[in-house]
Amino acid sequence: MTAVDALARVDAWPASHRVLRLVVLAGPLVALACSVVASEPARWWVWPLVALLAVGWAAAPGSGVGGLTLAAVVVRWAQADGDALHVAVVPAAAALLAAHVAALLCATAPPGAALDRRVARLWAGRAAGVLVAAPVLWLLAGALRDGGRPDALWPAALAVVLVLVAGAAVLLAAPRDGVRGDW
Amino acid sequence: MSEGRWEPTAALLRAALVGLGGLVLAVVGGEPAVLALTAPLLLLAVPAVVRPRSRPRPASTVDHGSLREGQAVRVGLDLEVSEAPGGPDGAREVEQVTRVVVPTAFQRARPDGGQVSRLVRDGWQRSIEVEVSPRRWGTPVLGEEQVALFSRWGGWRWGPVAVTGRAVRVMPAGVYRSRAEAPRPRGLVGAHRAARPGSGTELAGIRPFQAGDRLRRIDWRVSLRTDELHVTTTRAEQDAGLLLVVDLFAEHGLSGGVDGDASSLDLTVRAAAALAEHAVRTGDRVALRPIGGRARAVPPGAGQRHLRRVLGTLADVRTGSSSADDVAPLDLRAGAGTTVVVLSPLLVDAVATTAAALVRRGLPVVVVDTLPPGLRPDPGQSDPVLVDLAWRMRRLEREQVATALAAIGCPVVVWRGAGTVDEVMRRLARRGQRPGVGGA
Repeated sequence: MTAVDALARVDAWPASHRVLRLVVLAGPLVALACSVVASEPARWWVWPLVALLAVGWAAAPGSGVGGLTLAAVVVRWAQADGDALHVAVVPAAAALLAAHVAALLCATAPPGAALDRRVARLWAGRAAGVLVAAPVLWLLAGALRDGGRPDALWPAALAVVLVLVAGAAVLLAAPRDGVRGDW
Repeated sequence: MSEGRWEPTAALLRAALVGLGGLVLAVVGGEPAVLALTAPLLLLAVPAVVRPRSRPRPASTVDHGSLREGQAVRVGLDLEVSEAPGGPDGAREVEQVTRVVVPTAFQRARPDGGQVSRLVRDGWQRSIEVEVSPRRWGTPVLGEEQVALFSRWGGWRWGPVAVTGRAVRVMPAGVYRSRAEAPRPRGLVGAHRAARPGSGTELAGIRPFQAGDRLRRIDWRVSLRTDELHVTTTRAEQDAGLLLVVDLFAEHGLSGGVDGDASSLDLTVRAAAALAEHAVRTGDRVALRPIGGRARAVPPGAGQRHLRRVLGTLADVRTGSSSADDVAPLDLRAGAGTTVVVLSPLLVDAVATTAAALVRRGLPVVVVDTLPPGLRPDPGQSDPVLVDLAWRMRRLEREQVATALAAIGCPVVVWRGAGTVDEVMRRLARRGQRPGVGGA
């Protein structure tokens, strides 16, 4: 596909799809930038690697490239030296989540159709709901660290909390009578 | 409809793998930041992970079986969901429906070219309707589409599956109004002024009273002035027949639909439809005789039901490969009182031969030229100069044929929509009223 073809394809997308794909493209890069704020600068090849993966993800939101992109950013965060609980992790989590949800919306809607407002509202609400976990865990981890718990104990405790939260999410997500209408 | 099955979406796999990987990395490596980073993704994956057990069957619904080209039909979506025994309500497992109408020539779909994605909630069936508008006459299949269903939290996808549409008859559009008289009206009743006196409404003259005249016809003012009884006479009103002969030997030019360029077949079919509609509206009988292609003839008849039959036949016509020689011995069964309108691009000599034969039988015949103006053949791999020369020679031959037809009393007019044949019809009507002319 030539550059002209690619531009013609982008031009054919409705505005909502362009915005969503821009979020898919920018999310991993913003999360990567947050890791730089929290620690030392990343190696030179990390930026083009993540950028390339993000471009591929934005072009094909329903493909497996998205997983690689997110994994690359997460690994970078895991390997970064510096403050392990820098506040920049919260905006980084928000950026990754936004990219993930934007890719999901792009993959479920036809490329020529404008994004339905009710679908957008539903997913914005869900994203906002699950994003609460990031600052909560960050605060909890900070409190445990300040309490002088052993290194291996507090992540395990957080994992247990996370599983409990996930269980609650499953219960909330279960279908209930009377929610749907005219089937 | 093709079968589908529930498959995990890329979003579910992505969120689950990255979320779980982050969890493991955080616990094993002691990285709390990674846990905070990936926890939202894991939380999105958890409620989406349960695989739906229902088997949905989407089917499209088209709300009209026939329409005019340029009009639109609503194509809805029915979703029949077979539930798994002991499982949750299958319908509730579907959260979002995405449909993409298959793009087809001469069809326009709204919104967004027939691409919609909506939540399955109250009133969703109304919100997910698409409008499909066929842009050319014919019998296209409307509502062919690809449908994908998504489970709750976007975890699983059913399809996309191909959903078959419904064949719809698209009648040719054509508006035609005329005040011209039919050349040879015949019969007992109708809307056309006849040459003979009768019990119509149009004044023919005033003459002295004769035995047998109705008293209510006495013109008292003239009678008092002349001291002799006079009566008003009127002309009879009769119906007329219209035989439409459509040339289906070949299609010349490219069709751009109802709002684009018209091919010769487009012009032929739309002109025939317009003339048939006008004739039925004025109470005349209409017959249709396709020649050279694949279509059935329609015998004479009147009324809206007959008009629908004529229009339906016109919507089904196809050009064929039958030999031009087959036309020469055609018996068109045009009786007295019938006006024959031949719609043809006049590129097959046999059509002109048929028209000339009808004129010789004393029938009023009009040839409507349906060759698109400015048509130029596509040279393809051939030498464009030679093709152009051949086309000019063919046009010259065509003009000679048209001149020869006009010389024997068969006018040739170019189809220009409303009023195209008015003038020639009037001329034929005047000729028909002259004594000694015409066999009707």
